[in-house]
Amino acid sequence: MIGRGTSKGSSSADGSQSWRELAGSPRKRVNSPQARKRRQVKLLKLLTAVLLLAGLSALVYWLITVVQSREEPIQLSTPSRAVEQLIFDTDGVLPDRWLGTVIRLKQGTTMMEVDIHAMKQALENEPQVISASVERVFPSSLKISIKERQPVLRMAVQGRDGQTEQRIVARDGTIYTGVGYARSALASLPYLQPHQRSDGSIRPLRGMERVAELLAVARQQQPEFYRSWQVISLEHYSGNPSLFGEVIEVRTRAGLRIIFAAATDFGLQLDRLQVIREHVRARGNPAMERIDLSLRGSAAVQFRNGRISSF
Amino acid sequence: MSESRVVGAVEIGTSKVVVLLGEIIDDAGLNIIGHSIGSSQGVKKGVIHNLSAASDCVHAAIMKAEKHAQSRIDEVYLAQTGSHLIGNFNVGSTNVSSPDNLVREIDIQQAREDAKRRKLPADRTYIHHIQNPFLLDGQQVDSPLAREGRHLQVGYWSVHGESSRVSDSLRVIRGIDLDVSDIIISSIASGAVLLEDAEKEHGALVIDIGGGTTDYVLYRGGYIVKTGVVPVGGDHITNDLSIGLRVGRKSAEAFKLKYGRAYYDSADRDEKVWLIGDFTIGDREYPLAAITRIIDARVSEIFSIIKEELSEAELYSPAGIACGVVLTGGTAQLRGIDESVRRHLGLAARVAEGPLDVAAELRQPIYSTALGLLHYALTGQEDRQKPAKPASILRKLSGLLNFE
Repeated sequence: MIGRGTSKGSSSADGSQSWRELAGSPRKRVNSPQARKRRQVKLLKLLTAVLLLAGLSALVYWLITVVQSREEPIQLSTPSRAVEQLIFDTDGVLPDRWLGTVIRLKQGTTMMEVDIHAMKQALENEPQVISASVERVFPSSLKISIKERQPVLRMAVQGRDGQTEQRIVARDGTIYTGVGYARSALASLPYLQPHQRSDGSIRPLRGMERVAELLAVARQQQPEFYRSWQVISLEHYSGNPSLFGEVIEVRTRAGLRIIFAAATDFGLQLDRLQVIREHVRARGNPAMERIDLSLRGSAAVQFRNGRISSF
Repeated sequence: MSESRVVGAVEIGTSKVVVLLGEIIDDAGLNIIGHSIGSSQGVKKGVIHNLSAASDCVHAAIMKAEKHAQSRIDEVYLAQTGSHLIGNFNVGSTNVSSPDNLVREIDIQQAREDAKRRKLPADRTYIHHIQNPFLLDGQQVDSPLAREGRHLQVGYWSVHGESSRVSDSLRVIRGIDLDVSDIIISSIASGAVLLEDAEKEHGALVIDIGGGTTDYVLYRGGYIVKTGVVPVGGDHITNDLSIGLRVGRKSAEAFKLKYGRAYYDSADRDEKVWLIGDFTIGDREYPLAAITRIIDARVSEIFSIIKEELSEAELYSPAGIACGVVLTGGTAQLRGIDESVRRHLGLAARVAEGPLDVAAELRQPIYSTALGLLHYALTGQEDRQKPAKPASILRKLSGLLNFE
């Protein structure tokens, strides 16, 4: 019933001479002990509320100050000793300082804080590295083992600033800058003239294993002569030795061009080359311009004087 | 997020102060959360005579109710009574201004303003302007807007009282740092919750017999057509018994409650009643007829005055008050009061039962007016409802600290 039912028309007295005009008249307040008590309680509550608010604000301010002034990160992991020693083992030439630039281990990092998986990934992302392993050797050592790519050839490329830069070519065709190699070791490597594809590009380098095999056999059978090899041209070698006409051309410092068949046994071809060289030397050692070992069953020698002999 | 306000309904009566606390949620729901009844001092016939004594009683009752509710009052709805309250029926009229004779809002406003234009003496103030039906070319209409006609009339039952008396009531409430949102006369407040809409439509008279005054309100056609205050109440009956039987007020009150009946019956002549009833020294017999005759005289006086006032206003007709009389107030609990109404007013009567949606203890007639005040706090006297006041942060914070 309360709040339900309808009253037709309004009944409130508003406007002039309404009782509401009396409500605003500033006459002296009638006091009573109860009213005084109520006012005191109200004031006390208000005061308590203000103090509570002030206390809460102070607490929040204090917490913010404490958190902001804390310099050391909060220790979340279990306590462990800091890494004190790095054991670096490589089958190549990479130096210790290179390792420091790759793994970027901060001083004071504890054994358990080291993310060995991320570290292994970072190492294997380096082109000179074939594989890497990172191990914790407790109580405070980290062992890093690296397997490196071996250089087979070198390449001269044009850098971003237009300067000619030297790159290393590995047995699997990977091209990399090369860190830690002795200058003399790099100087002994022949240059590579890569196969140029129909679109003008030279990468990826394919079939480099076969080239590396030729160099290895030559280094073994004729080390003196091998040292005179200056350029290995893959102009007519696309990387697939089984294709017809795939040849590897070697240019010596004396300007002699030697053509090897990519599919034929390099040992036999080098034996034939040895025979030809000795025969020519016995005939007064006239200057040769081109020796073609890729012909089936024979070899052709072109002399500087234009004469051509068959062996 | 719901907004709520705590409303205090305060009735400052001659013999008691009633306070009810209601929590109004989103202006749509009401929970009665606290109540208190305190004795009243400094009030005679519904009018404050001793401001300090009345303030003490009212403030104590308010604090008791707040403690009971564990909440603080935000605003007060105040009941007003007393013989200084007078009602006048004023009619306002206007000619419909539009050329097509369709009533517009401006015409309605003009008729309303015209009805309220009557100036009161400087020492009087309006409490209510109660709107009655519109008459459009003499035909009664509920809403004249956009209807065709030439002459629009509207009547207002305006209730006004002495400014100083009303101001005293306001000062009592302001003494405890509370604001009065509205003043509603006691009879209107009671009528709002005791009558069904159908009873208001068919005609009903609510009579609230308090300690020092009797308030009444007459409904017809759903409108309040007359209110009045008779400066006689239950305390006068007690006084009469005290003087007539030569006993103290306390004994007279005990006689009234224990043996009292609102009308005299010939069978009462042979019956005696004991003052105390345990045959101790001072205990003695009184004839029941003496008691019932004294009460009958006062009760019949009250009803006779009401009948006279209604007759003067040409509003007394059993057919126009088809739903009869609804009695409330402390004295409505007097035995035979409904029979007395039938004898003196010639109307069917019943003693009001409070609304069923409140607790059983609040259904007593003593709470009717305060419940009516809460009804108005929820619905408003205007058609529109008051928006809920947003609670301040400090108030919400201090509200958490109920350590009284």
